[in-house]
Amino acid sequence: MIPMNLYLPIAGNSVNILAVLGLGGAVGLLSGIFGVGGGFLMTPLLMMMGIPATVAAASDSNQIVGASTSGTLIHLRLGNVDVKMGLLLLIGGVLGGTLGVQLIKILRAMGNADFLISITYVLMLGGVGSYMFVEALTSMRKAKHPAPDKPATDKPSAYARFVASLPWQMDFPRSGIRQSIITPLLLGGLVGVLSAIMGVGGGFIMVPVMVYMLRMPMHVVVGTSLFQVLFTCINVTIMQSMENHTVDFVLALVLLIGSSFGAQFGARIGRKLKGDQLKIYLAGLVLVVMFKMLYELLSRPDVLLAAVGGH
Amino acid sequence: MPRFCIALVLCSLLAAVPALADTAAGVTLAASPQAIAIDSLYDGMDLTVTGTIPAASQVVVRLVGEPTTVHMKEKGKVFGLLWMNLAKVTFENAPKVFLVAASPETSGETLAHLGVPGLADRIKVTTKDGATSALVAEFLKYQKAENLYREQAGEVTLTADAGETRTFRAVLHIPSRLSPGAYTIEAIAVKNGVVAGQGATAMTASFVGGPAFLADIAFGHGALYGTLASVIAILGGLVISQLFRGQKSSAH
Repeated sequence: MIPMNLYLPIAGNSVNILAVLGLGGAVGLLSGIFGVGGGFLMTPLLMMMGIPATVAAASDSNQIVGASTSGTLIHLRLGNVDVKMGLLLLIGGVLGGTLGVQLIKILRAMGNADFLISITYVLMLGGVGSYMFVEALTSMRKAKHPAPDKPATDKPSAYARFVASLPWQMDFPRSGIRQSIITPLLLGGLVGVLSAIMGVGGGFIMVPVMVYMLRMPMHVVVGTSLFQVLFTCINVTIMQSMENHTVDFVLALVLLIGSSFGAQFGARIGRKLKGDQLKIYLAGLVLVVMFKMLYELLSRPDVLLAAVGGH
Repeated sequence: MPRFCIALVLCSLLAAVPALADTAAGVTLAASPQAIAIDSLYDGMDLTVTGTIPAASQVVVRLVGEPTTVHMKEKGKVFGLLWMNLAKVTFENAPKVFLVAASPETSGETLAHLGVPGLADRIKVTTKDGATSALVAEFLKYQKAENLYREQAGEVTLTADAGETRTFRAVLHIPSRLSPGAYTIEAIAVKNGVVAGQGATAMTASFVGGPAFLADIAFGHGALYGTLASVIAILGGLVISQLFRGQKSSAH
């Protein structure tokens, strides 16, 4: 009989390999279908499996290192990576990630790390889930009742005027835009902090940031996001290993195997399904996870005590 | 010469003290295994305890971890809405693990005294506002939820009285959440609600193989561990992408 359980000394517990492979596969499948990283689902699901929140978040970052490696290589070959923009986002991301790890360390000592992870998740999942739901619904309605094209307005928005007024403007030929180097540094830093706290690559935050705030074309966004996420997660993995000892690379490797296989099948399924319906399903899934975590914050806990630190 | 004889007798008696502690009240016990190796495939295990107790007694078998000090946070409501961790609480003299199994006819009163609830008498609580018994109850609940404290942690069978003693056999289910360290296995004989005798034996648990290697690097060499974890993940990603690329090309 093949042993199905594996003891994880960092998590301090044994897990069923098939359950972890299945979890990785399921998240990878969704990731493949919907084209999202899946980290924002992986960490809460690992927590539901009994892995401590801090170990789940750190190990998931480690798993994303593997998952984003192959993606980055493919996009580099296709010329879809804006290396200059990616490096600026990366510098911001590394600084933000380092800050996030220190923040988690302080909060773990105070016993509030799990709370912060939960509340960040509720806000981010709520925001992303609601946005996707509304956007997909609007898009479906437009498809049914197409409206006449609106005349384009020449007046730039207040945000665009503010960004254009920043110093150290620079050309980014691959993306075809001109930006101040301050913008990607700050935005990369913000995503880095969230990435460290939530244990996600930051792709699902970084993609809207690049599209709506940096005005980059979509095909360059995906490749550059993966490039940036890869290095951000390497930094988070090393920092978490040094500071908090919460990375379980065996867990990460099993998840990586599961998610890679799931993603391959997911991509095939995704090509056969309608985009807006998929977005609504994903938004629904994201909102379910968000409501579950919100319920835990609002309802009386079974035990009125929480552990301080991990090991 | 008489002095030498007296000294010899006293020395013999002193040397026999540990054995007397086990046998004077008619309690003997042996555990198998006496050392637990937490390897990569460890997922909890059964610990068998056999021994003798005085005739007409019931037995409570306990696995007790080393006493430790646990720092925790008390949960409370913030803004009357969100539950979050608030004041720091310290629990002293709390065993790391406490598993209890008793023979079927052991009374509830005995179990309340010798089982998990009985720990409330020995665990000391310190808070900023002063110790409260409600917190000990919450602590016991927390440890039970973590599977570290358990009542009915196994099955105990007794044989009929054979002269002044009877034998028992207990199988304790050790959880997968067992940390390395020293443990004591106790057998307490209870007759008419009173402790009629007790014995103890030692057991150890330690990481071996993969977990020992990983724990050593992760906790002793964090930077090396983090770098290795990243390199292995990158290599894993490359191998998997090559694997699927091969499949794709062969499919076409």
